[in-house]
Amino acid sequence: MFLGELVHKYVASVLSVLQKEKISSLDKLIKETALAKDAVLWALEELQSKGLVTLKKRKSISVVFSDEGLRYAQTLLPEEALLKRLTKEKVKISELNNEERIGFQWLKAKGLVEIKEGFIALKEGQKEIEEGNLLRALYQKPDEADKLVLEHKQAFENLLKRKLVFVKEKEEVESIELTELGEKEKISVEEDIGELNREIIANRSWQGKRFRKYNVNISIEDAEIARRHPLKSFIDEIKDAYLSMGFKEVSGPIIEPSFWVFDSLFVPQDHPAREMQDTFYLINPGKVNVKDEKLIKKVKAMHEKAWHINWYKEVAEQALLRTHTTSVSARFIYRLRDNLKELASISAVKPLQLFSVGRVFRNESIDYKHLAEFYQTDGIVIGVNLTLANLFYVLKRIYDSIGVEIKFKPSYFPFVEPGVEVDILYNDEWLELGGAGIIRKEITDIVSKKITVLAWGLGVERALLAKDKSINSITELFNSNLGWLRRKVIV
Amino acid sequence: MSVEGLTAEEISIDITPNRPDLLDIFGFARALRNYMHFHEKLVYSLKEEEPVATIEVGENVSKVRPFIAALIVNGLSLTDESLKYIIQFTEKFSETFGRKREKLAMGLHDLSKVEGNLRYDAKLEGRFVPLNNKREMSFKEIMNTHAKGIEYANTIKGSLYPVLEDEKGILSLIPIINSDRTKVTSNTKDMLVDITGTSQYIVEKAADMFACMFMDLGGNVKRVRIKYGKKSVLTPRMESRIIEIKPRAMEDHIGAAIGFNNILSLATKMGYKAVFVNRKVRFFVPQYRFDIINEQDIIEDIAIAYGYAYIHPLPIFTEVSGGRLEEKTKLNRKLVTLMLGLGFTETNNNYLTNEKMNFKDMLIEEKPHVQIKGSKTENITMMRTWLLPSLLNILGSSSHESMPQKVFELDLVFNINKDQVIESHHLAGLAVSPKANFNDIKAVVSALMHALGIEFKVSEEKIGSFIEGRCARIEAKDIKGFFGELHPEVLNNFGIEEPAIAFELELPY
Repeated sequence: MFLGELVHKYVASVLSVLQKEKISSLDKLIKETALAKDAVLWALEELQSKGLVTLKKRKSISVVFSDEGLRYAQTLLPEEALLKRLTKEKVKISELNNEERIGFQWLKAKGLVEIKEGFIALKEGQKEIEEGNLLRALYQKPDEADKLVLEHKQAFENLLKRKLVFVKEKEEVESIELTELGEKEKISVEEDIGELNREIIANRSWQGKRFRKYNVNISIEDAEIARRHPLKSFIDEIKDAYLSMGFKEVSGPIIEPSFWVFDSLFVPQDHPAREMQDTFYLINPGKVNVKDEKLIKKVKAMHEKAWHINWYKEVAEQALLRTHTTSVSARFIYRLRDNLKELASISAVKPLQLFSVGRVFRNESIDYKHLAEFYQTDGIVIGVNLTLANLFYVLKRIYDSIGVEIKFKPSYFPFVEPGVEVDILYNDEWLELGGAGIIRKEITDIVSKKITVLAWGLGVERALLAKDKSINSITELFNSNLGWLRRKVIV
Repeated sequence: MSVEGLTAEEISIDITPNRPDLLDIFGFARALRNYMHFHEKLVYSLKEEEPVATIEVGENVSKVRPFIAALIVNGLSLTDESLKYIIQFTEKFSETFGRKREKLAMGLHDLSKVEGNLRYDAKLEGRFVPLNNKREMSFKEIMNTHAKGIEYANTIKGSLYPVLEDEKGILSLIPIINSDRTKVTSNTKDMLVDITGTSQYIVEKAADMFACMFMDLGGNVKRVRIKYGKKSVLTPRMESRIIEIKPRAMEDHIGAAIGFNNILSLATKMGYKAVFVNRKVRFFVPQYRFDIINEQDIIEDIAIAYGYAYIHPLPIFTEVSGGRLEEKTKLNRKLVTLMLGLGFTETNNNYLTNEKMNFKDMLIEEKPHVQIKGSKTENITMMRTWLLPSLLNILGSSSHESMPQKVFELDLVFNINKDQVIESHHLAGLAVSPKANFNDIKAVVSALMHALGIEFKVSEEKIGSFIEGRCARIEAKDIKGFFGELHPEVLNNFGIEEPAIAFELELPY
């Protein structure tokens, strides 16, 4: 008997094959036993621990890339990109973007650059970055990882420190040899319980038997979790914050006539924001009719009186992708003209509070910092005698609830007065989140002289970035990379 | 304006487009001085009311660029630097506020070189020596060959050219270029400034603003009579608009107890002459301000001077009222929960796409869709009509990720039906794995429908993106859609290396 212990059938099967045939390769053993690789490896470990076989093992490593590392491996490290730019042009230190700033720190650490009168000067000497070459080599020839790491020890250390790569150690069985003890061992299989099944439980055949132990330290692959998209789940958080303050959700079209995006909001027809460089106009449909002739007349009058330029209905009917969700707010403010009951219900103690969250569009050239589409949230409080101080209160409360810090400063938007810029604290820096203010009388007087409307239109992605430091850039949120979604830490 | 950045050497300031007066360093200095109660300048008035020159406006120009305002500045002592600044600022002003000179443009002339009566009209053709040129050129020649003519071709519509002329000839081809004859130099003591454009109010308001600027520069500004037929106006008008507001109304709008004395002091800070009359504050709107439309604009100035940071947030006292989500949001949240339960990860994708990805790579025919005009990014030409291409695109770049890979999206798509844009929600799921087959995706779709308690019918369907005989249509009362096993050519187009199954449902909202 096998040193007085029970022998599992895997162990028995492996040992008996080894005794019958002289096999030294793992692959062959797997074939002969017709067991799974994990089962054979486990059995071999058991046999070795009892001194019945000798295993010769070979250690090797494989290199795994982080998302950032993968991106650089496919292009250039930030310091290489900057180096390339520096060989072509003079660059001011103040002109560097975030990624180039990282590159600059590394070049400085390597002593390849210095600052002269605000410009970055290249020093004489080497122009190759060993880390970059290594990163690309590891990416292109994963099989040679061992050799490459050995040859470029320091550079590899640096890549590890920068969390661009991680090391996974592997151990492989190179050859198997039966010991003398193993040759002689007579085995009798006695079944312990591996996988429990219905029969064993029902028949109680487990009684008096042992259960095979698992090695709790073995490393296994993570289970995949089906995840929510971080941006979409943040949008739900925003909606919940509004709900908690008694706001009602509304929505509106993305394809709009200029009328709802600009004209109804008092944006003059020659305003630069309306130009094609900034706004996506459409070929199909080229125009969207605005059917409310009465409102058109009033809007035309308000424009011509205040802006002193002619106002054209054809310009107001050009079709476009909305540039802000304030178009939704505009629709709901003017809608009160037809909903006199709701208008009458608005009082000093009962404002109408509405919000929307949706996508907006700008004709941008897309790069890692700029997107042509993103989310915005708009809110309005339609009430009586509301003040700028009330607006500050509502916004503070909503963003407290979301969990980001905001502050206010003066700004200008054609449709509000006073105008407010809302800033958000992001990495110790105040960034613009959007605009707010009290809707101009020119607009609200068309609906009713008694109402005041507090309004805001704020970015969504920037608030998420301020809250969730594991997200590096807005573009990450729109390039739904499966690996990123699967491994992103939930904040 | 607001401070954007602050270092030991540099303060960067953001000037909003409603305050072109602050783009001028004299205007900016004036605003700072007033704000700090240091040599305040609240009132601008002309020494003489009577005009010293006349510009007759002709009939023809009324069709192309109808309005002109002008002013004369005497007693200037310019340096090369100050002249350079004035030229630069007027150019910048015509470019930005003047919308590339179309809405408004300005010209500066040495008054000592101007002879006799002035006339503003439009002509079919004419000749003069343009600024900094030696040779006479015709209008057409200037428009076709001169850099300024080419740059501002947008401003000339039709065959008539607006011109300003005196008895000796052309002073300016407006708004393209002035004549060399009346060129302004640092020796110029007396200047004629013309401002032309499409709105009488705006050109005259600009004349007021420049009058204030030249007075700050030490010039003696005088009026010009502009004759439109029998009517005439004197510019700069320099009328000070008066707006009266109750102090209480200001406090009620801002939501802070500012105090009446404080309001007067804050008004001065912002450049208003303000006095208390009949329980109201009477504000004299400075002539250089373009942006004061009604009392709301003044209240904003008071709020800015008071400081937004000092306005204490005040709650709105309301009845207890519950918030409410839209019905579609509630249903969407349920669908997302079900999809997660089915093991699909949620994604977020662009609505903007192109015909190749939306139709061609999916092996389907183009149908009417929302088309974008003039995108700065090459591969943006349309709004997506369905979700599946976005999902395939994600998994096409995730081949190194472990299998099975399951993703979904619930969001908007854009279709055109009888010339009407239909914006509606779709729900689509895609699973890629070595063992994916038709029945797996049918199981997902049926599970969803059963979970929602919706009865449905399944029938055979042919869609180019799917393998023939492995695609089905699903129809229910409010929902319809399709599912199946994707055609390997589609998978090749998106770089997917394992079998893939998918569904897409059109939701009724």
